[in-house]
Amino acid sequence: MRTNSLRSAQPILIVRRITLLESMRHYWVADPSTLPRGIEAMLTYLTFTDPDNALQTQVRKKAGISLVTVSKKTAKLLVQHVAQLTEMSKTVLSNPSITAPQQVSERSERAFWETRAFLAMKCTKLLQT
Amino acid sequence: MLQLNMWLVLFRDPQLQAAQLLNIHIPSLFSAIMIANVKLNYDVDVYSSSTPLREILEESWDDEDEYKKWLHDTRGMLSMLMRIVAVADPASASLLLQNTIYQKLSEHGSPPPSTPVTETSSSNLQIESLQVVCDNMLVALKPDQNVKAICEMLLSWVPPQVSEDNSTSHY
Repeated sequence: MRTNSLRSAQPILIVRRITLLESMRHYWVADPSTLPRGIEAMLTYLTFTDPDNALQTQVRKKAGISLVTVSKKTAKLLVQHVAQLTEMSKTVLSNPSITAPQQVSERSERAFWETRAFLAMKCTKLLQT
Repeated sequence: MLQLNMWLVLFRDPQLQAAQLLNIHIPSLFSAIMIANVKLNYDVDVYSSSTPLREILEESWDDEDEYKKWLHDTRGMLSMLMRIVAVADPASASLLLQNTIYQKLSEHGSPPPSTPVTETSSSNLQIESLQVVCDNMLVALKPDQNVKAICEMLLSWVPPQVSEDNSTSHY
Protein backbone atom coordinates (compact mmCIF):
# COMPACT_ATOMS: atom_id res chain seq x y z
CA MET A 1 0.00 0.00 0.00
CA ARG A 2 2.81 2.34 0.93
CA THR A 3 4.66 1.56 -2.24
CA ASN A 4 1.54 2.43 -4.21
CA SER A 5 1.05 5.81 -2.64
CA LEU A 6 4.73 6.58 -3.03
CA ARG A 7 4.75 5.66 -6.70
CA SER A 8 1.79 7.93 -7.21
CA ALA A 9 4.06 10.92 -6.53
CA GLN A 10 4.16 11.31 -10.28
CA PRO A 11 0.64 11.03 -11.79
CA ILE A 12 -0.93 13.96 -10.01
CA LEU A 13 1.83 16.27 -11.09
CA ILE A 14 1.59 14.89 -14.61
CA VAL A 15 -2.07 15.91 -14.69
CA ARG A 16 -1.02 19.39 -13.60
CA ARG A 17 1.62 19.49 -16.32
CA ILE A 18 -0.88 18.46 -18.99
CA THR A 19 -3.33 21.13 -17.85
CA LEU A 20 -0.69 23.82 -17.98
CA LEU A 21 0.45 22.61 -21.38
CA GLU A 22 -3.16 22.72 -22.52
CA SER A 23 -3.32 26.44 -21.75
CA MET A 24 -0.34 26.98 -24.04
CA ARG A 25 -2.71 26.42 -26.97
CA HIS A 26 -3.35 30.15 -27.11
CA TYR A 27 0.35 30.71 -27.64
CA TRP A 28 0.81 27.89 -30.14
CA VAL A 29 -1.72 29.48 -32.46
CA ALA A 30 0.68 32.39 -32.89
CA ASP A 31 3.97 30.51 -32.68
CA PRO A 32 3.66 26.80 -33.53
CA SER A 33 7.39 26.04 -33.30
CA THR A 34 7.05 24.11 -30.05
CA LEU A 35 3.61 22.66 -30.82
CA PRO A 36 4.86 19.23 -32.01
CA ARG A 37 6.75 18.76 -28.74
CA GLY A 38 3.65 19.60 -26.74
CA ILE A 39 1.46 17.24 -28.74
CA GLU A 40 4.06 14.49 -28.46
CA ALA A 41 4.24 14.92 -24.69
CA MET A 42 0.47 14.57 -24.41
CA LEU A 43 0.31 11.62 -26.82
CA THR A 44 2.81 9.66 -24.78
CA TYR A 45 0.69 10.16 -21.68
CA LEU A 46 -2.18 8.32 -23.43
CA THR A 47 -0.31 5.11 -22.71
CA PHE A 48 0.71 6.09 -19.21
CA THR A 49 0.78 3.18 -16.79
CA ASP A 50 0.62 3.17 -13.04
CA PRO A 51 -0.12 0.43 -10.52
CA ASP A 52 -2.96 2.55 -9.20
CA ASN A 53 -5.77 2.13 -11.70
CA ALA A 54 -7.66 5.28 -10.73
CA LEU A 55 -4.61 7.46 -11.18
CA GLN A 56 -3.79 5.82 -14.48
CA THR A 57 -7.30 6.60 -15.74
CA GLN A 58 -7.03 10.15 -14.49
CA VAL A 59 -3.82 10.82 -16.40
CA ARG A 60 -5.00 9.15 -19.63
CA LYS A 61 -8.35 10.86 -19.53
CA LYS A 62 -6.76 14.24 -18.95
CA ALA A 63 -4.25 13.64 -21.76
CA GLY A 64 -7.03 12.69 -24.17
CA ILE A 65 -9.26 15.59 -23.35
CA SER A 66 -6.40 18.08 -23.48
CA LEU A 67 -5.29 16.67 -26.81
CA VAL A 68 -8.73 17.34 -28.26
CA THR A 69 -8.84 20.82 -26.76
CA VAL A 70 -5.43 21.74 -28.16
CA SER A 71 -6.04 20.23 -31.57
CA LYS A 72 -9.37 21.99 -31.95
CA LYS A 73 -7.56 25.27 -31.60
CA THR A 74 -4.52 24.34 -33.67
CA ALA A 75 -6.03 22.01 -36.27
CA LYS A 76 -4.75 23.98 -39.26
CA LEU A 77 -1.23 24.00 -37.88
CA LEU A 78 -1.31 20.28 -37.24
CA VAL A 79 -2.23 19.44 -40.82
CA GLN A 80 1.41 19.62 -41.92
CA HIS A 81 2.33 17.11 -39.22
CA VAL A 82 -0.31 14.56 -40.25
CA ALA A 83 2.29 12.01 -41.32
CA GLN A 84 4.10 12.30 -38.02
CA LEU A 85 0.83 12.14 -36.12
CA THR A 86 -0.17 8.99 -37.95
CA GLU A 87 3.12 7.38 -37.03
CA MET A 88 2.69 8.38 -33.42
CA SER A 89 -0.90 7.17 -33.39
CA LYS A 90 0.21 3.78 -34.70
CA THR A 91 2.71 3.51 -31.89
CA VAL A 92 0.18 4.57 -29.30
CA LEU A 93 -2.56 2.28 -30.53
CA SER A 94 -0.28 -0.72 -30.89
CA ASN A 95 0.53 -0.40 -27.21
CA PRO A 96 -0.96 -3.50 -25.59
CA SER A 97 -2.31 -1.57 -22.62
CA ILE A 98 -4.55 0.58 -24.76
CA THR A 99 -6.19 -1.99 -27.05
CA ALA A 100 -7.20 -4.47 -24.38
CA PRO A 101 -10.95 -4.38 -23.77
CA GLN A 102 -12.11 -3.80 -20.21
CA GLN A 103 -9.21 -1.46 -19.77
CA VAL A 104 -9.86 2.02 -18.51
CA SER A 105 -8.15 3.52 -21.52
CA GLU A 106 -11.38 3.49 -23.53
CA ARG A 107 -12.16 7.13 -22.97
CA SER A 108 -8.71 8.38 -23.82
CA GLU A 109 -8.73 6.16 -26.89
CA ARG A 110 -12.00 7.68 -27.97
CA ALA A 111 -10.64 11.14 -27.37
CA PHE A 112 -7.65 10.22 -29.46
CA TRP A 113 -9.79 9.03 -32.36
CA GLU A 114 -11.89 12.15 -32.08
CA THR A 115 -8.73 14.16 -32.54
CA ARG A 116 -7.77 12.15 -35.58
CA ALA A 117 -11.24 12.39 -37.07
CA PHE A 118 -11.30 16.11 -36.44
CA LEU A 119 -7.93 16.53 -38.14
CA ALA A 120 -9.04 14.44 -41.11
CA MET A 121 -12.14 16.58 -41.45
CA LYS A 122 -10.06 19.74 -41.38
CA CYS A 123 -7.68 18.27 -43.97
CA THR A 124 -10.53 17.50 -46.35
CA LYS A 125 -11.92 20.97 -45.94
CA LEU A 126 -8.53 22.50 -46.68
CA LEU A 127 -8.06 20.35 -49.75
CA GLN A 128 -11.42 21.40 -51.08
CA THR A 129 -10.65 25.08 -50.81
CA MET B 1 -14.14 38.21 -3.25
CA LEU B 2 -15.27 41.77 -2.63
CA GLN B 3 -11.74 42.94 -3.25
CA LEU B 4 -11.59 41.10 -6.53
CA ASN B 5 -14.87 42.69 -7.50
CA MET B 6 -13.49 46.10 -6.65
CA TRP B 7 -10.41 45.54 -8.78
CA LEU B 8 -12.60 44.39 -11.64
CA VAL B 9 -14.64 47.58 -11.45
CA LEU B 10 -11.50 49.69 -11.29
CA PHE B 11 -9.84 47.96 -14.22
CA ARG B 12 -12.95 48.34 -16.31
CA ASP B 13 -13.16 52.06 -15.72
CA PRO B 14 -12.26 53.62 -19.08
CA GLN B 15 -10.86 56.80 -17.56
CA LEU B 16 -8.57 55.02 -15.14
CA GLN B 17 -7.45 52.76 -17.97
CA ALA B 18 -6.68 55.67 -20.22
CA ALA B 19 -4.56 57.31 -17.55
CA GLN B 20 -2.86 53.95 -16.78
CA LEU B 21 -3.07 54.73 -13.08
CA LEU B 22 -3.62 51.14 -12.07
CA ASN B 23 -0.67 49.59 -13.82
CA ILE B 24 1.76 50.29 -10.99
CA HIS B 25 -0.41 48.17 -8.68
CA ILE B 26 -0.38 45.12 -10.94
CA PRO B 27 2.72 43.46 -9.39
CA SER B 28 1.46 43.72 -5.80
CA LEU B 29 -2.05 42.69 -6.83
CA PHE B 30 -0.64 39.73 -8.69
CA SER B 31 1.51 38.50 -5.81
CA ALA B 32 -1.41 38.88 -3.39
CA ILE B 33 -3.62 36.87 -5.72
CA MET B 34 -1.04 34.13 -6.10
CA ILE B 35 -0.90 33.70 -2.33
CA ALA B 36 -4.65 33.80 -1.84
CA ASN B 37 -5.52 31.63 -4.80
CA VAL B 38 -4.02 28.44 -3.36
CA LYS B 39 -6.84 26.06 -2.54
CA LEU B 40 -7.18 25.20 1.14
CA ASN B 41 -6.75 21.67 2.26
CA TYR B 42 -9.98 22.00 4.18
CA ASP B 43 -9.66 19.12 6.62
CA VAL B 44 -6.12 20.00 7.63
CA ASP B 45 -6.09 23.78 7.39
CA VAL B 46 -9.48 24.49 8.90
CA TYR B 47 -10.27 21.63 11.23
CA SER B 48 -6.93 20.63 12.64
CA SER B 49 -4.36 23.35 12.17
CA SER B 50 -2.97 25.31 15.08
CA THR B 51 -2.43 28.60 13.30
CA PRO B 52 -4.05 31.77 14.66
CA LEU B 53 -5.93 32.03 11.36
CA ARG B 54 -7.85 28.85 12.06
CA GLU B 55 -10.73 30.55 13.81
CA ILE B 56 -11.22 33.05 11.02
CA LEU B 57 -11.14 30.27 8.47
CA GLU B 58 -13.61 28.21 10.45
CA GLU B 59 -16.00 31.13 10.75
CA SER B 60 -15.74 32.01 7.07
CA TRP B 61 -17.53 29.00 5.63
CA ASP B 62 -20.15 26.65 7.05
CA ASP B 63 -18.56 23.55 5.63
CA GLU B 64 -16.36 22.27 2.84
CA ASP B 65 -19.14 22.43 0.24
CA GLU B 66 -19.73 26.05 1.08
CA TYR B 67 -16.02 26.68 0.67
CA LYS B 68 -15.95 24.94 -2.71
CA LYS B 69 -18.86 27.02 -3.92
CA TRP B 70 -17.14 30.18 -2.75
CA LEU B 71 -13.88 29.12 -4.44
CA HIS B 72 -15.74 28.44 -7.65
CA ASP B 73 -17.25 31.93 -7.68
CA THR B 74 -13.99 33.56 -6.73
CA ARG B 75 -12.09 31.81 -9.47
CA GLY B 76 -14.67 32.85 -12.00
CA MET B 77 -14.10 36.41 -11.03
CA LEU B 78 -10.36 35.92 -10.92
CA SER B 79 -10.31 34.59 -14.46
CA MET B 80 -12.03 37.72 -15.67
CA LEU B 81 -9.64 39.94 -13.74
CA MET B 82 -6.62 38.10 -15.13
CA ARG B 83 -7.76 38.66 -18.69
CA ILE B 84 -8.27 42.34 -18.05
CA VAL B 85 -4.88 42.67 -16.37
CA ALA B 86 -3.19 40.93 -19.28
CA VAL B 87 -4.82 43.35 -21.69
CA ALA B 88 -4.06 46.39 -19.53
CA ASP B 89 -0.33 45.79 -19.24
CA PRO B 90 0.83 42.84 -21.35
CA ALA B 91 4.56 43.39 -20.81
CA SER B 92 4.59 43.25 -17.04
CA ALA B 93 1.81 40.65 -16.97
CA SER B 94 3.80 38.18 -19.03
CA LEU B 95 6.94 38.80 -16.98
CA LEU B 96 5.03 38.31 -13.73
CA LEU B 97 3.45 35.14 -15.03
CA GLN B 98 6.81 33.77 -16.10
CA ASN B 99 8.39 34.53 -12.74
CA THR B 100 5.49 33.00 -10.84
CA ILE B 101 5.48 29.80 -12.87
CA TYR B 102 9.25 29.52 -12.56
CA GLN B 103 9.08 30.04 -8.82
CA LYS B 104 6.25 27.57 -8.25
CA LEU B 105 7.78 24.91 -10.45
CA SER B 106 11.20 25.19 -8.88
CA GLU B 107 9.78 25.16 -5.37
CA HIS B 108 7.07 22.55 -5.79
CA GLY B 109 7.67 20.91 -9.16
CA SER B 110 10.02 18.21 -7.99
CA PRO B 111 9.08 16.99 -4.55
CA PRO B 112 11.46 14.51 -2.93
CA PRO B 113 10.52 10.84 -3.44
CA SER B 114 10.04 10.39 0.30
CA THR B 115 6.97 12.64 0.34
CA PRO B 116 4.18 11.16 -1.76
CA VAL B 117 2.14 13.65 -3.72
CA THR B 118 -1.60 13.29 -3.29
CA GLU B 119 -4.55 15.47 -4.21
CA THR B 120 -4.08 17.43 -1.00
CA SER B 121 -0.29 17.82 -1.01
CA SER B 122 1.05 21.30 -1.12
CA SER B 123 2.89 20.72 -4.43
CA ASN B 124 -0.36 19.76 -6.08
CA LEU B 125 -2.32 22.63 -4.57
CA GLN B 126 0.37 25.18 -5.33
CA ILE B 127 0.72 24.17 -8.96
CA GLU B 128 -3.05 23.83 -9.30
CA SER B 129 -3.40 27.47 -8.31
CA LEU B 130 -1.42 28.41 -11.43
CA GLN B 131 -4.01 27.00 -13.81
CA VAL B 132 -6.68 29.68 -13.63
CA VAL B 133 -4.14 32.45 -13.86
CA CYS B 134 -2.05 30.88 -16.61
CA ASP B 135 -4.95 29.85 -18.82
CA ASN B 136 -6.76 33.17 -18.66
CA MET B 137 -3.70 35.33 -19.04
CA LEU B 138 -2.56 33.43 -22.10
CA VAL B 139 -5.91 34.01 -23.75
CA ALA B 140 -5.24 37.73 -23.68
CA LEU B 141 -1.45 37.90 -23.91
CA LYS B 142 0.36 38.58 -27.14
CA PRO B 143 3.10 36.01 -27.69
CA ASP B 144 6.46 37.44 -26.65
CA GLN B 145 9.78 36.29 -25.23
CA ASN B 146 8.33 35.68 -21.79
CA VAL B 147 5.48 33.54 -23.07
CA LYS B 148 7.98 31.57 -25.12
CA ALA B 149 10.05 31.05 -21.99
CA ILE B 150 6.94 29.81 -20.15
CA CYS B 151 6.29 27.32 -22.94
CA GLU B 152 9.87 26.05 -22.83
CA MET B 153 9.68 25.79 -19.06
CA LEU B 154 6.52 23.70 -19.15
CA LEU B 155 7.82 21.45 -21.89
CA SER B 156 11.06 20.77 -20.06
CA TRP B 157 9.41 20.26 -16.67
CA VAL B 158 8.93 16.55 -16.21
CA PRO B 159 7.53 15.47 -12.84
CA PRO B 160 10.12 13.33 -11.08
CA GLN B 161 10.16 9.60 -11.59
CA VAL B 162 9.78 7.66 -8.40
CA SER B 163 11.28 4.28 -8.96
CA GLU B 164 10.39 1.10 -7.16
CA ASP B 165 13.92 0.89 -5.75
CA ASN B 166 13.68 4.35 -4.27
CA SER B 167 10.37 3.68 -2.65
CA THR B 168 11.53 0.52 -0.95
CA SER B 169 14.77 2.03 0.24
CA HIS B 170 12.92 4.74 2.10
CA TYR B 171 10.98 2.39 4.28
